[in-house]
Amino acid sequence: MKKILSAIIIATLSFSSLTFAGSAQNTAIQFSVEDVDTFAKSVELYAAQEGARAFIIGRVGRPEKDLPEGINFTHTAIAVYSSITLDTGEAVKGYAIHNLYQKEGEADKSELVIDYPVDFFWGVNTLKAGIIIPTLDLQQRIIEVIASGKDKQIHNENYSVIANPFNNTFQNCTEHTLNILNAGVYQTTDMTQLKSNAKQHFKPQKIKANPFKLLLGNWFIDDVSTKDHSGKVYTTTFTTIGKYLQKNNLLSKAVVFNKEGSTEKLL
Amino acid sequence: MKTLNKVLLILLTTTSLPSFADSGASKNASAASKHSALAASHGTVASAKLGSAIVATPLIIVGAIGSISLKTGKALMENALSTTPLKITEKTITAAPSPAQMMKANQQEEL
Repeated sequence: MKKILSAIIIATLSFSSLTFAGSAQNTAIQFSVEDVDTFAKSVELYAAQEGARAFIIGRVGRPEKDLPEGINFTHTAIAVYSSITLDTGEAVKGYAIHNLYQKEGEADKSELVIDYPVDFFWGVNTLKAGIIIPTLDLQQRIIEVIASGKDKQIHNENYSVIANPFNNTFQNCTEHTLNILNAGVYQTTDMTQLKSNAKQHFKPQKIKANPFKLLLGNWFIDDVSTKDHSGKVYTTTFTTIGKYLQKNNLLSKAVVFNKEGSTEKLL
Repeated sequence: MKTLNKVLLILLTTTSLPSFADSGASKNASAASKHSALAASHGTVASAKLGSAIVATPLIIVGAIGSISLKTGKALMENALSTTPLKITEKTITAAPSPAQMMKANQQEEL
C-alpha cells in the first residue's frame, strides 16, 4: 500500500507540469503595456509587408519549459486583413483575429470571438508569434469561409484542450483552425466529410504524457478529456497545421517572429 | 479506509487545477481595464493612437482566383496582388469591451 501511495504522490506532485495549449480570452498582462503594444503592431506590420490577407497566428501563453514535447504554441487563430470600423465611425485597415476561445467560467465550452493583435498578445508568456501564411488561393478560400459565416457552422462548442482532430466530439482552437482551412480547401462544411478528409491527409501531434496524468486530467479538469480518443492521444497543433500545408503545397511561409523583429523558420 | 482517504486527500491537495491549461484563474484582465492601460501608455495622444473596433469586414481579393459568391455575410471587394505590401493603420485597435465588462470595471473603480 505504501508503494501505491508513494506512486500516487509522485504522480500528483508532477501533475502540475502537465500543461497543454489552451484558449483563454482574458489573461493578465505579463510584460509592459508598451512592449505588448509594440510587439503586436510589429507582427501586424510584418504580415502586411508579406502581403498576407489571411494567415494563421500562434502565441505562447505558458512558460515554454512547461509545454509538452512537440507543442510550441498554446493558442492558434486566423488573422484576416480587414476594414475595421471604429467607435468613432472611422474605418481603418488592419488584421482582425478570428479565435475560438474558452468561455469564461465554463472551460469546457467555447465561443468564436474576434479580437485584434494587442488583445491577442495581451497575456502572453513570451513575446513570440507563430506566423503561417498559406498560398494566395488558400488565403482567398479562408477569407470566403469566414466572410460567409461558414466558420460558425463548423464550430463545436464542446471544448477539450487535447481534442481529437479526427472526430467532432470536442474541438479546440487549432482543430477549429484546421476545420476552417479544410472547409476552404474542400468547399464543404459537412463535418463528416471534413473529419474523413483530415483522417486521410492530416498528421496530428502525439501527446507524450503519462497516462495516469491524463486520467487525472480527465477526472479533475473541465477542459481536458480523453473520451474522444481511443488509445494514444493525438491533437492538432500550430506546427502540424504548418506541416500539413507544406506537404500539400499550400504553404507560402511559416516563421516564428521574435520580440526583436527577427524571424526564424518554423519548419 | 483511512489509507484510501489519505490517498484521496493527497491527490486533491497536490493537484493544481488551473495550471493544467491556459484558462481558468488568470482571467482577470477585462477589455475595459485593457483600454485604460493602453490609454495610459499612450498618454495625452491616446485618443489619436487608440481605436475601439465595432466591426471588422474581411477584404476579399478580386480577380485573384476567380470570383467569389457570398450568399451571406459581408465582405468588401478590392483589387490587389498577392505579394503587394498591405496598408496597416498606425493605431492600436482593441475589441470593444462588452457592456458587462464596462459595468464591472466601473463598479471596481467606485470601490
